[in-house]
Amino acid sequence: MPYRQLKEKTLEMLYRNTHFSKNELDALFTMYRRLVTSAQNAAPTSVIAQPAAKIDGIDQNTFRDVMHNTFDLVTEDVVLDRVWLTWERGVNGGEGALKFEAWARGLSVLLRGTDEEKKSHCFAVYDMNNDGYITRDEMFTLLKNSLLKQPGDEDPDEGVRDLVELVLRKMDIDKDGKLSIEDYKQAVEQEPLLLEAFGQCLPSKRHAAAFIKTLVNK
Amino acid sequence: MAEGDNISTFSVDGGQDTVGLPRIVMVTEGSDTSASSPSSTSSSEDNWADLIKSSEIPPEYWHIQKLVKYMKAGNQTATMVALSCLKDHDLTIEVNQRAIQEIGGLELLVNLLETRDLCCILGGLAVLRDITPNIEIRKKVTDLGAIPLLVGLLSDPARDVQILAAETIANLGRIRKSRKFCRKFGGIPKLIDLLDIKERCLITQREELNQDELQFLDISRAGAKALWSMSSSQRNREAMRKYGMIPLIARILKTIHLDVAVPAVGLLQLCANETSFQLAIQTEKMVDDLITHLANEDKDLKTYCSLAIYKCASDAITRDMIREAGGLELLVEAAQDSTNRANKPLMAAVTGALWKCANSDASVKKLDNLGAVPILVRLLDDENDGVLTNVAGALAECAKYPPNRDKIRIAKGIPMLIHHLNNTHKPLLENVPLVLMECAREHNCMIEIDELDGVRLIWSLLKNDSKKVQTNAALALSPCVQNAADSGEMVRSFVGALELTVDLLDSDDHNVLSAVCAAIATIARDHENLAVISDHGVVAKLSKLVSTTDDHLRGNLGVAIAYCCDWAQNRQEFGKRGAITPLVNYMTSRDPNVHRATALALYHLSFYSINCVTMHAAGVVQFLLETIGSKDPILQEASAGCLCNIRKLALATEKIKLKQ
Repeated sequence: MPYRQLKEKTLEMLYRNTHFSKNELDALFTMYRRLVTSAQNAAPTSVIAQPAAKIDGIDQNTFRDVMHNTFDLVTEDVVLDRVWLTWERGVNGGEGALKFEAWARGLSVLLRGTDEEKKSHCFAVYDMNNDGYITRDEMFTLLKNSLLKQPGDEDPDEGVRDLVELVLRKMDIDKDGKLSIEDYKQAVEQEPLLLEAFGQCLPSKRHAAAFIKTLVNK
Repeated sequence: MAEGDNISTFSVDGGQDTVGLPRIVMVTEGSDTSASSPSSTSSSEDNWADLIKSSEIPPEYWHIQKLVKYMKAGNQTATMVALSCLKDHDLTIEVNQRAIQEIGGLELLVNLLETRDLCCILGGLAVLRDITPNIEIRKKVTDLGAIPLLVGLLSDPARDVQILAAETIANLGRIRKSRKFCRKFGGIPKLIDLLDIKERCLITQREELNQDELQFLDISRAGAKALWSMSSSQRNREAMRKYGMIPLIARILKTIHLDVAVPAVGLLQLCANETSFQLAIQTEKMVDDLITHLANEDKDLKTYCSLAIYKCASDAITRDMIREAGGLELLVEAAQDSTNRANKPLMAAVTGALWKCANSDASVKKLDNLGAVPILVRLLDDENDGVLTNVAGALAECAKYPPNRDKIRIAKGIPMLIHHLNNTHKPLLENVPLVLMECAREHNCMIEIDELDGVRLIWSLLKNDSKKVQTNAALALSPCVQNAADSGEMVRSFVGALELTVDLLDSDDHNVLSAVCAAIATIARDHENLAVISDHGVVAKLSKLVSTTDDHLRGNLGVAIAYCCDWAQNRQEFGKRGAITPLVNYMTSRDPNVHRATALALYHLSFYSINCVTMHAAGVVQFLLETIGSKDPILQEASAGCLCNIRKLALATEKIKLKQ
């Protein structure tokens, strides 16, 4: 098991690179350790009489639980998966479990991110193929379930397609039929409501504030 | 939000306040009671029906309805997208507002306020704020229970929410029901909290404030707007005072920002209907700030400042403060400015303020220095009744100072004033006679009034059904009758005038009675006229009034009786009708005017011996022995004369007894 206590060096670095105070980082580390330990204990054994695979960070299941239960981030699976995938994992990148530094840095954006950080985060989530543009098809996938299917609808997707057109028309500043990061940032600048236009991927300010309060109280 | 629309109309019988409320007469929009709303909606219903029939509904209408449908059927994400598209439309046009209303959008928007999601709330509020100026929507939204939700949102930690909620409440507050709900759901203290802002933010230029401070400024502006709207209800004003709004308003008045000052002063002037606020303006030293704002170029701000001054200038100390702060100069300047003429609310407010401020000698002198009288006379040609009433009131105050009477005449004011006697607007008719009353004391003015048939017109005002008009007209008659050339002839030439005057003695209003008695006292100096009014039964009517305890009435009644004695059997009749004993009782009053009047009456009555006996029996001698030493020459003479007559009678009786 890695460090039982947060190394000074790591603490320093995180303090500089995130929006958390040192006390908050300590508390986050404690929480991190707890989550990892309980995940490890709950892990099923793959082969009988052999120890379970080592979980050395926050895995996707734990991640989903935290998002749902602690941050009340109830959203489409598509979106949540994207959040998981786009989470900054540091130099090595990849899609594995989150070590503490990555976890802390990501939470910093989610809970206390500047407007710029949040915009970048959301855009990355919505840009499903990571090509720097949010296209019509990606929008459709993200918004597919956002309208209740009415019984009388001939084509239930028609409303969604219309919604996609509306959003595109509103946000596509350079009129090239897709949203670049510049388009997105400018549009959100003018109309803040559009930050999470394709699905909730940030905890609400209320929950973020409540969570941080509990950190300090621990 | 159209700032001008927040001026309300007040009348003495508006039922909102106790007697003594300053009367404001202004051009206004109709008050927003439910009584007046149906008429305005029926006309807009007609327009709407026509529009639908002509199928000229713009595509925007359908587009908006589609967006609302998406909001209904959508999850939070879809709702946000639809809301942001909705905000792109101009939601202040009626067509678009109707679009939202007719597809059930209002229920949806009010529901959004109940969600816990910040973005939904912000989006919903932004739309509501823009559509609630529509009168139908206001009513609907209130009925849907928006007010308690909005009041709750006022405590939300997000400042944007507070601002939008307050601005929406300000729009909704134009309906009485909303104002009541806001109070019942505890909205007033919360709104007052929004006003609490550091003075630094108020007095520093916007460029030098940081983000937070700018937002605080916006919050207090929104709070002021909402409270302004709420203050149309008297109970709300009372609540505002109770919850400690006064010091906060005093602080906000110091602001240099126009957009904050306008709602703050608007709020203050509406609250100034209450005497508690009028006093507060004085004690919290708000006068200086008010005058500073009065100097501002913005016409609306000037109007509200003038209104505030109008309402609080009934107190002498406040008047002094206004004068010392340079208020009169600014008001005269505004009255003089010809570009203001078209702005009737402004003109009415400014002239009203001048009227109330002129109620002290020092102010009248100051106004003279500023050349106010000719300026006011020039305004007598205005079309607006409210302006005219106030101008006449101001001139009446100025004319109390003798040199001004000629100034009015030279500025050609007399013909215009007399012309206005034909108007039907009662407040105007109350004030014009007062001007003429003062002017009639000046010889040249009186000549002009006479030439223009002014006295007859004043006399015919006695037929008006307003008691105040009757009173003031009667008051004006005394100097007119006294100073007119050939006054006796003149009075006799007015057909039915004397009968009308005597009939007014049947009125039940004491002010009317006092004024009429004063007039009768003057009329009765002419013997022929005295004969006429005696024929009309003036003695009987005067005798009936003798039992009054009102000192003001007693003062005038005594004089009337005194001068009515000098004809035929009037003296005797007074005695027979039992007027003497009550009169003697008047001497117990503390009012020196009453003493004088009573002494005069008794003196004239005492020329009939039986009256002397009655007086003596009623114990008049002890009073007269005191008043004989008075410094008031008329009182002294009358008392002496009366005693003399009584003594003569006593001596004569003695002689007869001795002879026997």
